[in-house]
Amino acid sequence: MLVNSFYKHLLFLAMTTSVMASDFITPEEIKENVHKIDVLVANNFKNNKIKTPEITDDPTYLRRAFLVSVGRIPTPQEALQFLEVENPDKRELLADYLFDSAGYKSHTINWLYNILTIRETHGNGPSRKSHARLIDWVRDAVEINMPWDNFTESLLSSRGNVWLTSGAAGYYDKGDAVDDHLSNTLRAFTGVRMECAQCHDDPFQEWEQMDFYQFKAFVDGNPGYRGKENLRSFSRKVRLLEVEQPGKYKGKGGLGRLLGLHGAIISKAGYGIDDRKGTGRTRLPNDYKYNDGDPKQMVGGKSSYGARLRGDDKKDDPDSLTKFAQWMISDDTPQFAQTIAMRLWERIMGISLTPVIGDYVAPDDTEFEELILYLSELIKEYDYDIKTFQKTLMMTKAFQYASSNKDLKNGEANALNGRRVSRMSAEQIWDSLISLIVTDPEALPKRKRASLQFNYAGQHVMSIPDLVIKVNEMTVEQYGEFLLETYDKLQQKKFPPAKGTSESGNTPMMGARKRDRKPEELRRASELPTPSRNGHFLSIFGQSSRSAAIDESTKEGTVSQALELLNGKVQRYIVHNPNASVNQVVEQTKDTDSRIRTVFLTVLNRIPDADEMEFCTKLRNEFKDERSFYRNLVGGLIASQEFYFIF
Amino acid sequence: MRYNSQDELSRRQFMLDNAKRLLGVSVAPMLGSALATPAFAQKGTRGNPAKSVIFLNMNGGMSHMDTFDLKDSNKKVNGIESAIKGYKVASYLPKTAKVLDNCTVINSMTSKQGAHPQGQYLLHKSYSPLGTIIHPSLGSWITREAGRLNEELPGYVAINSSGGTTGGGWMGANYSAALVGKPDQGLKNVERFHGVSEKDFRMRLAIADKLNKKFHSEYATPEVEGYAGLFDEAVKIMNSKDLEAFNLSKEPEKMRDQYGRSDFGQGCLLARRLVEVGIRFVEVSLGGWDTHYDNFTAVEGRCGDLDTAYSGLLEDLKNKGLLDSTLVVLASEFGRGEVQPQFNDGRSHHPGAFTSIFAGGGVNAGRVYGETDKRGLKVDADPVTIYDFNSTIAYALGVDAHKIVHSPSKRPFRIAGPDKQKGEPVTKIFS
Repeated sequence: MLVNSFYKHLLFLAMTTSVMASDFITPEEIKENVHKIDVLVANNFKNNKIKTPEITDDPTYLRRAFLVSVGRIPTPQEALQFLEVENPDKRELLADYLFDSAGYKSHTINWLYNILTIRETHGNGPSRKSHARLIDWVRDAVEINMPWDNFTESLLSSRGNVWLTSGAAGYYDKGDAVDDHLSNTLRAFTGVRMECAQCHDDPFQEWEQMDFYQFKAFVDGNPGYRGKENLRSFSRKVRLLEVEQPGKYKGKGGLGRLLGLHGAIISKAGYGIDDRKGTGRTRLPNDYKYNDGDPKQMVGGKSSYGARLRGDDKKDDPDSLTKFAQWMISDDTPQFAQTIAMRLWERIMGISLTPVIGDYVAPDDTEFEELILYLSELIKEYDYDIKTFQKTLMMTKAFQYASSNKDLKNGEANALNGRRVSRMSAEQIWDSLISLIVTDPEALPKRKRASLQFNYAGQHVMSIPDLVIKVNEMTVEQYGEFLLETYDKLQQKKFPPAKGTSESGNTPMMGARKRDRKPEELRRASELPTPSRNGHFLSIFGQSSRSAAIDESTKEGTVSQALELLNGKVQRYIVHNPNASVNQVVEQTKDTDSRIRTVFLTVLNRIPDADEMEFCTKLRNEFKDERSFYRNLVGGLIASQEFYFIF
Repeated sequence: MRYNSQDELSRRQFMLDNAKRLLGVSVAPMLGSALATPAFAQKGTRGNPAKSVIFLNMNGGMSHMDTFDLKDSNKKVNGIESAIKGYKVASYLPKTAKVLDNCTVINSMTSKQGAHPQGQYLLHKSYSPLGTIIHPSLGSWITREAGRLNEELPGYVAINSSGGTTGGGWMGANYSAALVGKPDQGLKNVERFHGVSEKDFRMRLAIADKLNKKFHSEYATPEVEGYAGLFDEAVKIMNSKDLEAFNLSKEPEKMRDQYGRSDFGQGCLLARRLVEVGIRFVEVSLGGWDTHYDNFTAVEGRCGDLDTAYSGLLEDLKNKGLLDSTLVVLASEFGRGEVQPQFNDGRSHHPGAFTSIFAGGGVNAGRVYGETDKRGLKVDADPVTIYDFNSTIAYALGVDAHKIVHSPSKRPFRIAGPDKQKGEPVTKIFS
């Protein structure tokens, strides 16, 4: 029976794979949908009397397509293959290649970490003890291209211990930040912003504080997994026993170590969702000041937008997490489909159809009503297959338009005439730089899964699932005995040596951080600890801290970034590293004029124009040391804005 | 527009706003300082403001009762006379005791936040952490509102501090502190990579510049233009003659000893060097104050580093004539409560009452402000909240703590914190 519950999660994954939506969408259907989108975009040009933008050239298209789908620039081999081949369908073929590549998964993982605020590294944020399992779950979901509605439903309704059922049950583990997490959840999945209504009626929007609390009722309560008795409170008991009966728990020195072991066990056994979370009711705050309720009054769940969902003020509802999740993905909650469609549109097309990325606006309040309605329907028609949806967008003419160099009117979306030029994200810059170091950026080592072995003090105690099952069936007294027994055995080294150690989870990562091992860094951004530590390249370039709000990443330029590109790791790993692929390619190119072109092709994925060629040739001729010249050319191109902008 | 029809302040404000818009971050310093002169002082700011802040962050909750707020009931710590008549401090702080005639000790700090991360966040930002926005820290505010004094170097530097509490938040990375880890290692990436000659370096910049010109002509958007001056700024820092300020080896050995050879001591010395070249806001952190177990041994240990560094800093600033223009603040996120014998005489967190110290920057010399009850647990007179505390620092710098600045998401924020907290500068501590 236990085995059953443990593997239920895997079974669920397998089942989902077998009903993957994209199996049912034919290439012909995709083409039809591409055409419909282009017609709607063209109508917009007609109605607004705007000239249709030009279709961009192959090198620009190539670089753009790579960056938005796989999060990196193409390698010189990929670039050559695409640029050299004369096939009218090559842009469509490239879309197939990109969305089927491992890079798509990597790029998607970064995006999900941002909007779900997934954080495992040490910081000032609340506890993230269960996030190792959540991370594995999210990565598995990306691996099988889990439909967005299933993904959302699982995250918002999963129950149980994260090690026994599903890592999705770690989603609510944000310490005591229930209110903030709810606001972020509503915003991430339905584009509705309720953060102001957490504390007061929102003067700028329609939301009242009561609306927020009625939503909160569905998810209120502390996340955690208690098992038979609340073992988390055990540490208090140990301390008290020590005060009452000094020496009972091994005297002063042993007490701290005993509590350390207790903490390590609870960090596995105590995380997940039990019936204390999602009771269906919540208490209004002590200072509630509006007429529609009294301070401290209990209120039941109620949805204030989307599908109708109403709980009971008088009694708890143990199914309220499930009901909340189903409300969220219901066809009668139009915000759900529209929000994901709009987020993906912005992700691929580089411009948001609504004034703020990810914020819901009723379609008839926008300039693009028909298009927004169509896209929201389309993603439902695709059964929320986000990969095929993005591929469809990439195949449109609209994606291929040359960038607009026009400024946006104060936060208003522009009239679709070309993508907005923007700096790459921190992850895109990192992954692109990696593409200059290794020949196959998709073949780099992946992050390891969370270990299922409970190791302590260098010894293997038992498997984590066994441990979790065992301690959660104990009374507090039995647990006390178990803890002492385990502690004694550890002291006497009676367990076998630690096994199956893995990088996943908190502690080993922190160890790795301290040593700052260089070889470990040569990985895609999605395979590094999330988020990177302060002072890491990714953090300097504005990676989201993934601690509080959805996507806090920034693309703002700072002097530290410029210093990093000019004098930092880029020099050691790329410019001055003879083994870096960009230098290898130069080395292998015999003809000197071709060498300059090769550097351009590798770093900027285009051939230099005549003026640039003349400029570089002149510099090379003035420069005696040819190797230094090529180093400077690589260093100069990496420092150019063309390198780190998407256009 | 006719300037004549406007008063001088709004004309200058207009110019300042335009300078900010057109020139980016670094406002011409003469405009910044002109605005802050008494003639243009606004309500809530003071004339003749200090120029720089050195913020000494006692991370972990410094025990006020075992340092600067001794009580008769505390038999474990001996008091010694200080330079403030009739005011005793812990015997662990002999050197500090002698320089307190430069300071106003505030023994009536009070807060409601008793957890470290939230407490440090509040101390640095005047707001509690929210899940939906990241607030800028005080150093970011001061650098933004008072402008930079040194056009080449960053306006805000934090030594041995967390990037989380010293970040620019919604103000963006340009207002984040430049982080220095070990004081004697200075700023990162300010020297050419080894093997890169001056000629190589110039050539790289020339190539980048060539491409940038073309790129700018094709994509003249604000995002692209925002990046235009970045490498120039970086090169400015690299070439700045003031970069030497980050190099502690330029100090005589005797001076380095005066501050103590601890990281904190050397950090304080670095802070003084940075203030000398016009860095607006320097934070130096000293951790290890979280004395749950064996409080008295631990506090004595921390005081060793603090005593030499703090007294060394104040004496040095005074000797160099910098103390009037430099506000030195020593603060902690909260204090500590009663002794707990069951934890080997530890003390746990106590936000209800604690101590901070202001020195220099126009602050009254040799005073004690506010007091706590007999047990040191409650404030009896002149409470100072974290909101008041941060407003006071702004006030010393001639910055209006009540000025509302909107985040890019259009939410209003101010140095004094949320409206309902009623943060006000403690103007009484200024002469």
